Amino acid sequence: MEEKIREANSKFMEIIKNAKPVLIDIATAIDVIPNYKKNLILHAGPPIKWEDMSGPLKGAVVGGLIYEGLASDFLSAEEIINEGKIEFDSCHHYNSVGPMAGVITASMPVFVVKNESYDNYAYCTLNEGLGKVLRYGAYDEEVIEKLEWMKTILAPVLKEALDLSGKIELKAILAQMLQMGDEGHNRNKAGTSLFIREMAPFIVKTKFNDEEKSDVLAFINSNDHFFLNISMPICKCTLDPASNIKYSTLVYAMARNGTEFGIRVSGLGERWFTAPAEVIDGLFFSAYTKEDANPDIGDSVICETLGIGGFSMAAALPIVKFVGGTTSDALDYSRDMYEITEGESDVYKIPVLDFKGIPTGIDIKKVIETGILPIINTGIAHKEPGIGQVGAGLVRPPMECFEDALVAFVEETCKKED
Amino acid sequence: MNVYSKVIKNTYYDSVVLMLISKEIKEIEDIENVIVAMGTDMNINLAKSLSIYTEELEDISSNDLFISFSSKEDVFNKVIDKVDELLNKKAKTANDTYHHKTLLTEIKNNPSSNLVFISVAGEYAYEQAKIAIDNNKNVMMFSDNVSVEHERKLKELAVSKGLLMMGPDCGTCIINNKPLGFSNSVRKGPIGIIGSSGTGIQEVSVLIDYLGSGVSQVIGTGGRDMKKEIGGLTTIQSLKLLLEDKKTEVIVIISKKPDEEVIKKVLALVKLTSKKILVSFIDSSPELVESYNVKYTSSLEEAAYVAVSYIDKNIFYEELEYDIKGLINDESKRHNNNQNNLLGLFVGGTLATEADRIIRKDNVLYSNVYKSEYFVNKLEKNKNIILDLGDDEFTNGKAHPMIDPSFRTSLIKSIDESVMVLIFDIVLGYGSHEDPVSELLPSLKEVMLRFINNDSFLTVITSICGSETDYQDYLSSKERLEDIGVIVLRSNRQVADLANRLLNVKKHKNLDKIFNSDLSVISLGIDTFYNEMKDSDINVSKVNWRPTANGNKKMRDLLAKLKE
Repeated sequence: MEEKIREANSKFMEIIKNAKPVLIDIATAIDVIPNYKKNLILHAGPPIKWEDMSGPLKGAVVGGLIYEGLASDFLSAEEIINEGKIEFDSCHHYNSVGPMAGVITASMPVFVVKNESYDNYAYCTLNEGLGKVLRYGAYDEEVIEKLEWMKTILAPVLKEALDLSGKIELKAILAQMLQMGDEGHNRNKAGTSLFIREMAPFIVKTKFNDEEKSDVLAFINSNDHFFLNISMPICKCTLDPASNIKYSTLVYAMARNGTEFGIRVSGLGERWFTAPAEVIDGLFFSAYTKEDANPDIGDSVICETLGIGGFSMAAALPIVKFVGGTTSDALDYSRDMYEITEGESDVYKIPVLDFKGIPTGIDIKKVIETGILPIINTGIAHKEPGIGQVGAGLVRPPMECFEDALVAFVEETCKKED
Repeated sequence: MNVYSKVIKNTYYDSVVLMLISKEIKEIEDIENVIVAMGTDMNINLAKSLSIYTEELEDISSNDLFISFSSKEDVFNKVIDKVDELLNKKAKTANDTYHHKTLLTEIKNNPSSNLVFISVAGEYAYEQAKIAIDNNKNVMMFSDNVSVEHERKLKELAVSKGLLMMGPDCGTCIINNKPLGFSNSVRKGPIGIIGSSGTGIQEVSVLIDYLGSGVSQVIGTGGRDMKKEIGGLTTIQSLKLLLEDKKTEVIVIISKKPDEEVIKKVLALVKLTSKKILVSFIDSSPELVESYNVKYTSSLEEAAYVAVSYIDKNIFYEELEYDIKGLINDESKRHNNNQNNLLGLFVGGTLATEADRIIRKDNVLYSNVYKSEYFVNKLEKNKNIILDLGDDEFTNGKAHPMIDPSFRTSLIKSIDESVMVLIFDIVLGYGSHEDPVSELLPSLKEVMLRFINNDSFLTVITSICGSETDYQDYLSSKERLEDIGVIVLRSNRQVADLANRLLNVKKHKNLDKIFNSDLSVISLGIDTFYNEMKDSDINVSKVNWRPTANGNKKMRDLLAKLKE
């Protein structure tokens, strides 16, 4: 059995190593995401029913319905939901990922990222910026207007620029970011800068007018998290082909929906192993406290699943200013992660650790054996919809997810042996 | 016009043949008249009437053949040569180079045949063997991939008719001292061999020959015969035959992993015989065998020695030491620290199994010999590995490595630096490659040189499963290998044994190392110990350890399950 597991895990690592993520397009969700439907709303995390959704997620759903023109306010949104007219599902089930509430609706523009080694795709919306935004559950007029602008100006400009530039190689950008002080989840400043640098000449060449082009450039410039919505699908399309390897104990997805935290293990197929999401204890802005915080939410933990984000904190020491702790802590957090992973990346390196490759391939066995849980770097949302981010901090998945997965794994493999 | 004639005494050919030859001779330039005929009165008169009678024909009788002709030039030699040629040609076609297209027709036209040797694809083999047995022929079946049910049916039928069904998966026999399949040129003698493993039979037979004795009959039974599903049908039948055979005084039974209940059935037959019976059963109980008063030997080499010792009182078996200590000393000095492993590349399945058993006693070994465990099908670093390259997974679409050495050659080239000793087998004899050593030499040289250039040394040990009368030249094969530094031993057991000793010496060396280096400790546990060691100036570091799974017993049990 041990050998079978070892071989399966090697296969997993080989697939990760082979990934070739590229940004090939920006398109409308319903046009490009396979099996998408007009009344489908995708959300972050494992599957969840409307009744169980936390504040920010409900707010984002309402905002999505208003944006699609299917509702005018919270009450009318709730009505059509209760009439069963809206279908909900996890972004992950549609090759997608979304930060925080992670809501995707039919007419939203999405990044199209392709893994050229396995011809699989991952999709993600464009990042709205900071403050009162849909992903934190805000849904007032301002939010909807911005979403409209993103649909009518931002996305088309970027799409045309992308058509002119040709596909963008993303592996190189991510590798560079990590050596410039980003970790790809909570710090994306370098990534955003590299992206805007690469796109700018082509944005200028598009047929839009100067005002529009300038607005696009200014928008990206003002949003340090812009690249997060590209980091995430890079990780997703790298990990997806490694799903479903019989006997592998490695994790290919982690995600939270604001209520539950879920993980998926390669040797256990599509199953989610869930447990109540934790409330993050971190650094809060102005007067906010832990009492105001929503439980952990978002698909952005796909970053840690690959080994960037919290796992690469040693590459982004300044982050301790936002999440607390010392730079020494940040180094230790990264070092600990090597105890629970199968191997190291051959291309994404951390300079301060002597250019050690990032820890990749979370092994549920090792997590349980060592008691060390993956470390996640995340933003904190207010538990009421529409208020926005109230802080940032470190959080861990519940051990229960890993324990349940181990029980299931042993059951399945022993069953197969008989 | 010249007239020539020649008489060939006491030579008969029928008139039709001779007339046709005459016709052909007439086509030769310058010939006017010609007769090629028997010396009957009628034919002599004919010659006279054609004016081609000469005095050579005076004493001719009707049992003599004569050639007479008239020609302008002297073409006498030409004519005689041509007649000769034509006479011989006719003789050949009379024997027929046409081959029948079905077994049944061939059998009908070949009544003196007594053995059908079948090597067609497995799915067709049963049908053909059935035809053979139904028509009272013995069968040797080289084909494998025949089902157990079919094998059983064929063997039961053959036994009921007093015929031998040797196979499926039977590659080696020597019947009436004629080699069949993969077998060696072995002296005639009083030792009979019954075997369900091909190279096992070969190894024993060539060692018997080496020791000066020989074989009476060598009967292959097919690989599965000694399994309980087949119940030793052919082994039992062969044993009965050899017990009665006047030319057989000693009987050796060879098998890989025979089932216990079959061993009992087989050995029950030998209760009342005065003949000497011994076995070479890899992986079975010596006590069980000896309870039947049968000698149990623990290697193919021992089996050969014991068998011959019953015939020749001057031969006895001791596990030969040769200058093993000196050899081990010399070789082990040259290995570097990273070389700790053994690689075995075998073309003979039984030889691989025998080596596996010897190495596995003292070492962790990965091989494809025992299918029930982790299946190795590639070379991996830092592991002891033995591969039977004749196994199905390696021969898909390729010729067997005994015939085509190229796959083994390519594996040899890719040996990695963690390997300390390479062992393999060379099989000579009928059916094998015409010069296996010549195929292996370049890649052996290449890899041995690569090791030397990297400050290490690859010990290479082999045995040649062949007799000194095999056509591939045993002595030259041995010499050419020794010339490049390969150690050539007499038997497979000796090879595996030497390799095992080298592994043990290395392990001992590794153990010994700690006493010869600076102590460098990792402390895992109570801090007091760590601190004390630090204070004593010991080079020590510590691990920030936490109890496994935080002490959760359920989780620990699950984790342990996965480690099996």
